[in-house]
Amino acid sequence: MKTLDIFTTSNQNLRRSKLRTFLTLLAIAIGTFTLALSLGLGQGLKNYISLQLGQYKNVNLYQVEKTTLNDFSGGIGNKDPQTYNPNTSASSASYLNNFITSADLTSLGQVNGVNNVEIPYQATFLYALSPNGTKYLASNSVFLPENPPTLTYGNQLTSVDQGEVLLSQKFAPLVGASDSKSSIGKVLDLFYKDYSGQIKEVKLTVKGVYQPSLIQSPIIIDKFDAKNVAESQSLNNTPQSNIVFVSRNLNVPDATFKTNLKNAKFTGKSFADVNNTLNSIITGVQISLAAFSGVAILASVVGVINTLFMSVLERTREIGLFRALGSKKKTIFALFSVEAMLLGFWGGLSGIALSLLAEQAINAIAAKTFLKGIEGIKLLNISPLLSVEIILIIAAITFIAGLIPAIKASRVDPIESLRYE
Amino acid sequence: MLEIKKVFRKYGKKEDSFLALKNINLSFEAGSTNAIVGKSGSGKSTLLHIITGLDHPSEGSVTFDDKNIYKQLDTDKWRGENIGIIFQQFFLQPANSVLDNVALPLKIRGVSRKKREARALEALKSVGILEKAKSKANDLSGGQKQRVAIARAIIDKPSILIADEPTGNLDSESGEAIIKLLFELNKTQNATLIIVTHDHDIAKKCGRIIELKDGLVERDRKN
Repeated sequence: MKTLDIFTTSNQNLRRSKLRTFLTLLAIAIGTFTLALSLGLGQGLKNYISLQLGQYKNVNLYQVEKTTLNDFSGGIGNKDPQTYNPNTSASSASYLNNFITSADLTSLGQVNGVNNVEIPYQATFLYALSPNGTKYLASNSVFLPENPPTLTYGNQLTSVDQGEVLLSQKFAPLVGASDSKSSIGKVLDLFYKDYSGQIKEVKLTVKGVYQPSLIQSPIIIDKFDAKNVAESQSLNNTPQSNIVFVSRNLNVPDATFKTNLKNAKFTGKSFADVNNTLNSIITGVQISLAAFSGVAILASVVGVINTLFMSVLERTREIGLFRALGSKKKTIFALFSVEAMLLGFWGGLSGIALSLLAEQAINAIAAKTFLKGIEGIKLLNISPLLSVEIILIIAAITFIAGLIPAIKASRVDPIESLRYE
Repeated sequence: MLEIKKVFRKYGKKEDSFLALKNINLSFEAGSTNAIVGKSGSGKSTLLHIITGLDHPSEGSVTFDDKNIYKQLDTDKWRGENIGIIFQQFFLQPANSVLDNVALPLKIRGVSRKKREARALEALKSVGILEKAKSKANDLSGGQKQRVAIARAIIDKPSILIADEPTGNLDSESGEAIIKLLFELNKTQNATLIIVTHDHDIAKKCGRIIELKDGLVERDRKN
């Protein structure tokens, strides 16, 4: 029998018992639907993270902090008394020990592979005063030359700039501009409290406007002014931070660099690490959700086996006829196997069609409600490739599920099945 | 020529075993007409299954043109190409068209749709129900269904045409017409005709009558 004839015959056979086939397809479609949604959700989140962090993958910047003592198990009430060890006991650590000191900076500078150390001066502003008198919150960060934002207008800051600022394109109203382009050259008026509690003002000129992103503040201040404000807000004009940004000498490999940091009792994490960690978490969640979908698919597989067994029982006479007309056992096997696979294919296709409709609806609702204002996020992302993969996987699973009924069909005794006396 | 030599067919194991056929020796000349008669349990059906290759003899051999159909030939393929079987209960696919039912053997053999439909129309014409080609098999009368089954059996011009109680489910008028058709096809297509029947009137029309009793050939005579 030709392959095409096997497929068309199997497909025709599916239409014989319409209600039974419909119910089996419905079960497969529900399994496929849940699988597609769970994988689509993970893919959507991965795409969002990739979109937000992907451009930072190659940024040569490590967030470095002191390796802390993290064994706090001695604090659990029902534990036996433990002896004190100055190197490992949690009680020897305090949050003050985590601040980077000048001695730490010296030590860090001597680590093999450290190219440059940037202190993230954190200026805390009360508000930004717009020309029309509106006071806006002014979340900000210091400019890091190794991690410049992607500008849409204007020019990039440099490490020696003073009195200048970069603004997210959404923050044009802070300088009284009608659009992001016209905010270039305008003055951002910022107010802060110094260490003594006096309110002070700093005026910065907008040098450039950039695309907003997940990990960048909406205001990026030049290093000089950030340092000035941070110092005036700190005891003895000495800002304290528990992290620094370090760029790596590219001749030293990433793994070696991290080992060198570890040996000097520092821990370093690159943007790529953050990206990978987030992706690993999402993959874990994705696998968990897919496992739940697997239960639904397993149930539908049982339905496929049941449907095919009933079909074999109902069609023993027809199998006998096929054999009497010269059909080989392997042809009978192929007819039932393909029928099982087609159940998976059509059920999978229906499930994917439903999930694509759900994707449109859920994304539209999410964009208008709980994800409103989050740029670039598409909660569900069921790509054409993912859709095809799911359909093929479901068809392969039902094909495997159909093997036992197909073997049973191929072993039907034609003499017994054609007996009518 | 089809030859059956020293064929035994035993069912069951040791103490419970039962011999359905006992030392059967028969040969069927090309183009001959043969009737196999006998009471229920005489071994007619077992012999039929052995001849068609659907069952294996416990001992002995079945040869077609001097080739053992079990050992030297691909039995399924040989059956498909050389044997046309007509059943008492027609065994049509009720939801399919008459044309599809008749073309089924060629579909199984991998013949293209165009060719098998042309041959099916030819076969339907030779059994006189060409006009029913598009009808559903379920919509036909008993006589028409048997004609469709005959058309299916002769679509590939088999060397041997085996009819198992072909009139068993038909009224006498339709039955006579079917028997007449089978004898006509025997002449026009030179196919060896083997009819398994209870009906002595049908058997008398054949050139040879083989009478089975308790698994043995009791009588083998020419008309």
